[in-house]
Amino acid sequence: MKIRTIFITLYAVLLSAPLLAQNQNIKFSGFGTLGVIYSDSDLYGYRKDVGSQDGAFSGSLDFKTDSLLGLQVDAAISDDIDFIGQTILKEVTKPSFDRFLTLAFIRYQASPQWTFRIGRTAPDLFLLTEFRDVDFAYTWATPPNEVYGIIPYRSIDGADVTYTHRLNNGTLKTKLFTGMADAEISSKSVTETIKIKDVLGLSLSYDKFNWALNANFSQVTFANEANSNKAIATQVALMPEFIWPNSIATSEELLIKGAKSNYASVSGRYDWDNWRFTAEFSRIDAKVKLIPTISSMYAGLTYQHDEHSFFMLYSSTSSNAFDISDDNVNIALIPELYMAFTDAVNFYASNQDTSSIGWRWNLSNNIASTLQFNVTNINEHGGTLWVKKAQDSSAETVHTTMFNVSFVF
Amino acid sequence: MKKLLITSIIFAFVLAVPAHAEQLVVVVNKNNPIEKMNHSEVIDLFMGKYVVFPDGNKATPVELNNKSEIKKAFYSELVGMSLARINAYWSRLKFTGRARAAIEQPNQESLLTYMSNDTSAISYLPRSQVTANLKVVYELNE
Repeated sequence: MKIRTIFITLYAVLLSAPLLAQNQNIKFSGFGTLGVIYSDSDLYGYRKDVGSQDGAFSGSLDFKTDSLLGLQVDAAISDDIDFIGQTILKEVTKPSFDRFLTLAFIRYQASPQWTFRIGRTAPDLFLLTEFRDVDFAYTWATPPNEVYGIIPYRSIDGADVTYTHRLNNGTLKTKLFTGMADAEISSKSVTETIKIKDVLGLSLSYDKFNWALNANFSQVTFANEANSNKAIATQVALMPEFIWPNSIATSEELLIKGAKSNYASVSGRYDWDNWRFTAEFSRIDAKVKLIPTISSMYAGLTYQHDEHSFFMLYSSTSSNAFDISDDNVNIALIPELYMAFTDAVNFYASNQDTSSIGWRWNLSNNIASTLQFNVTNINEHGGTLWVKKAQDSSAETVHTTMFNVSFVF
Repeated sequence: MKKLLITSIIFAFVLAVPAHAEQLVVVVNKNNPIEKMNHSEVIDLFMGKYVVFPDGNKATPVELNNKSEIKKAFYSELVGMSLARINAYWSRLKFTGRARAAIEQPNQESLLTYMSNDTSAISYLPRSQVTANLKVVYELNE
């Protein structure tokens, strides 16, 4: 709880900062998105990540999923030390002070090469995870769900150190970070808070302006157990051998507390003339059966002409669904438990791909509109990234249209 | 009469040429030991990638605000990007707390005053506005 107190204090600094608005060392800024989404599925509701309990289903326009407002204060304490606080107001599953506070850290620039930060920062798990909510920052309407939708974390409480230097007319950045985080993971009926601790991450980036390469690697330890999984595990453990052979061993596979998970990503960008090519490959590899190995990617091509960007994007994610049919379980005797078990063990098994086209128009120096059209092929039992309205996991092709106006100030 | 007409046309043409049509130069305080910078060093510095002078000392970029035609011309010539794209790029750095943005000055006069008082400052100007307190370290389109 001590760290929460620290953040509450830091947040109090953020809130009291307007009183010091006349001080030129304190700057206020912000970003936001007004977005509308239409998706044509009755079964699969579009959401930006697995943390959302609500989704955009067929028959209505959704204004909540993509709309948000971010406010930030930068306070220079000295030439080398500053405080940054940020809050993002948006629809969240469990609204709380903690969920709306996205950044609250002290930054110390020890030298031009070395930077230290302590407090609440944005997670650097994949290429865009640090600024995924700043829609004005990238060309697309939203980062590809196939890669980013599975990650619910918006902040990490801890510390990081970055070393930057020039190498062969480019810049090489090496960042080490550690900390802990928590976030909600939701289905239509259940929301669980997942906590991770002992986060240890390395981020490398080499940038030569017209091209860049990034590599991110992190390891995390699950710090708690989802209540719904515990309940199912308890029931499975009670099953006699003639109904569920090795039921105790199977029940233990539902538990994740103490298990480790690795996040890895390699990405690149290349600009030439009016064109930009971007690609990222990611992999989540947990040491528990409940969370399968998830391999994801996206590749996008953008053509820029004056203030207009036209883009196409392909993204996919695949993972192995958990299959207990080989375990000789007598499913007919326990249909409800079997269904709950199957849902639990396949929760993270996302299998789908999306093809997108879109158009971004910079309406002014600080405002842009983006229109994007997605066609998503969801495999059977592969709709983890969507909110499901019913206990049905059949394959489906979903068309989603997104329009948003993003801005910074 | 013909002479007057030609003079008037030339005068009108000169007035019509925007301020940013003049060559832009990157300047530092005259007491800064740096004599010259190359294109990629200037990009790294103004794009927040590596905010350091070639001798390893810390640099403080200073510039006019978004309404400035000089700023628009500078980024267009330096990296071929509009101010909207520059702002999109900087929103990644700013709203993640990765880098400090350049210090903004409301007008040319205050920018020149800042540059004269801070040896770590670096900015850009039309060549004609370079004062005796400043030193040119890079010329755009050179």
